[in-house]
Amino acid sequence: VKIYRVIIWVLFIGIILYDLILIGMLKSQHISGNLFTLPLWPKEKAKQQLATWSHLCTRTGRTVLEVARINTWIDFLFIISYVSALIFVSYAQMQKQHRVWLNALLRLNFPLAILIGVLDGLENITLLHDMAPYVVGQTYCSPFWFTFLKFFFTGWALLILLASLLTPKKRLPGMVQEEPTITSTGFTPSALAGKS
Amino acid sequence: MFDISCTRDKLKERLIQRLLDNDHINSYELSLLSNRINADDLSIIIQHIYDLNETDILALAAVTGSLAAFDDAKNDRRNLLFKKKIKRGFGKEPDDKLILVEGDSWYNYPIILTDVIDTLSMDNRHAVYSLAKGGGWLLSMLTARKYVEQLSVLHPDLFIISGGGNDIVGDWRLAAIVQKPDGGQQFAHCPWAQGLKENAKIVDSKFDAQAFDTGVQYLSKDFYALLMFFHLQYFMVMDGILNGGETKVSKFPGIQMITQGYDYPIPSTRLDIGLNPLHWFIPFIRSFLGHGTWLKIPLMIRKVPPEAQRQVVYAAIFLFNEMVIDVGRCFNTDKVKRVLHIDSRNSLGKNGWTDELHARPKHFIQTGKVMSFAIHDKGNQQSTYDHVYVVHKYKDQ
Repeated sequence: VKIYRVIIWVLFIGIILYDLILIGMLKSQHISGNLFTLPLWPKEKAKQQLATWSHLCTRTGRTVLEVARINTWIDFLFIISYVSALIFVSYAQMQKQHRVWLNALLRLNFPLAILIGVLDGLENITLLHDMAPYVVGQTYCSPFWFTFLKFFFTGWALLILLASLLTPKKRLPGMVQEEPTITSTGFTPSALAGKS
Repeated sequence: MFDISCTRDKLKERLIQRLLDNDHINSYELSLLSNRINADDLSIIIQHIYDLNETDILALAAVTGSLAAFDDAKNDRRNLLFKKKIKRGFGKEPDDKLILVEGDSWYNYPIILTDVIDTLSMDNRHAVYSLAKGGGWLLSMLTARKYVEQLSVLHPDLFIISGGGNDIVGDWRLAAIVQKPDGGQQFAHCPWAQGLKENAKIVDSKFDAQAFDTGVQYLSKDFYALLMFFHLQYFMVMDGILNGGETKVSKFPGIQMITQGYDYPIPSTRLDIGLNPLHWFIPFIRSFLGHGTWLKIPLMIRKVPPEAQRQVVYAAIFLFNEMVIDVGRCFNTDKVKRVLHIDSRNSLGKNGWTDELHARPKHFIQTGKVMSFAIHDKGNQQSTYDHVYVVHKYKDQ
């Protein structure tokens, strides 16, 4: 479990750094648009953007579309890493949270993380289809709803995490006891105990 | 020449035989046995109850595979937190309590749920070192004696133990301790168990006499032998820690112990699929983690009718709780409570279960809060009665 956790965090941070470098490189070449928001664009605009990318070259010699395609494949690894990371962090916060409602919402983050990952995977599959050389500029299947729902659930999960981080409690609450009435069961009925 | 030790050994042997036969052992005789028994005797008793040799029993009781890995991962996380607290100078405040925990899945449910000890760890006044294992048997806890090693190292303020549930229901063992209804013959043959019932203190009249009287008729002589065996085990552990065992000098003066009893579970194989997304984990856990195999299926194997299944478990759990409370009494006086008991009976209700054996997180959290309250209750003035804290009687302040 420990090794898996380390691998996940290395992967998670590594891919974020890689993406930041990539964005910086594309910006320095004044290449417009980015793959993160593209799925939310109107259909025609997104189709046009992909067609434009297929003609633009980066410094590495690859077209922007090829770079976007590679990045989409890498995103599958990123999905595994952030789904796991979200579950790890939610679990750690849950085990610090004695407020029942927040504890339950943090637990709900586990299936939500998996759902977010599935939606992201479906978004990637749709984008890979849209970025195939024989499709670019011809047809475009919008992954809008996958992306929209992914961001919606991600926002929700992060909000719950944030709420748990902002409401730390260092002590369990005090308790009061309702006045108990204490009686005895009385002696065992003779039908049961009489034979002893 | 009259040999006293020989007579004592013979008396012990005779008592052990009567325990195994459920032959009218009373409280006095069990207390005699408690004071004379050793680990070898316990080993003999359990081999007779389970009809297995010691190696096979320990193999049966061992927690292995992925469950053991998840248990260890959770304990590693807890014990890392323990070390962090110690490094930060834990123990300076008078309320700071160093706690050692040994137990089963109520104290270490390795995935998804927040259990009793997770809740206890949330409080900065507690540094909790955990040896608890989901699926752990009391037998294997006491045989492995890992707690002994950690007691010597940590010298904790509290030692918390929960065990016995898996010894009864693990590996379908429940089927081995029920029988066809006998009109209460076996219960009648056990004056000690009758005493447990008669001396039980019932809080807010929450005792289902009809369920108990029906259920108890299905409990076989092996159940009573096992219950007495638990009594001997708990007594031996407490005596060793609180009184130093044979040496009569405790290595841990001032240490307190906390025991715990389960609520009355409901035999079931239902998955309980519902629309509340916050309860998503219930059908998941019920599908993959043993639900139905602990209670319902073993009772079905022994042809216990569905309407009597809950009663059988009710009677067994009632007597188990009273047994643990009774052992604790042996070490307490009116003024000094060295053993506390957290009584979870009637705290979960029908809808409070994740699966057949485990509470929903909100109930585990409530039990943990009450345990924390008991730990900091000066002079144990606010117990429900004697040394017992009844979970359902307490509310957040």
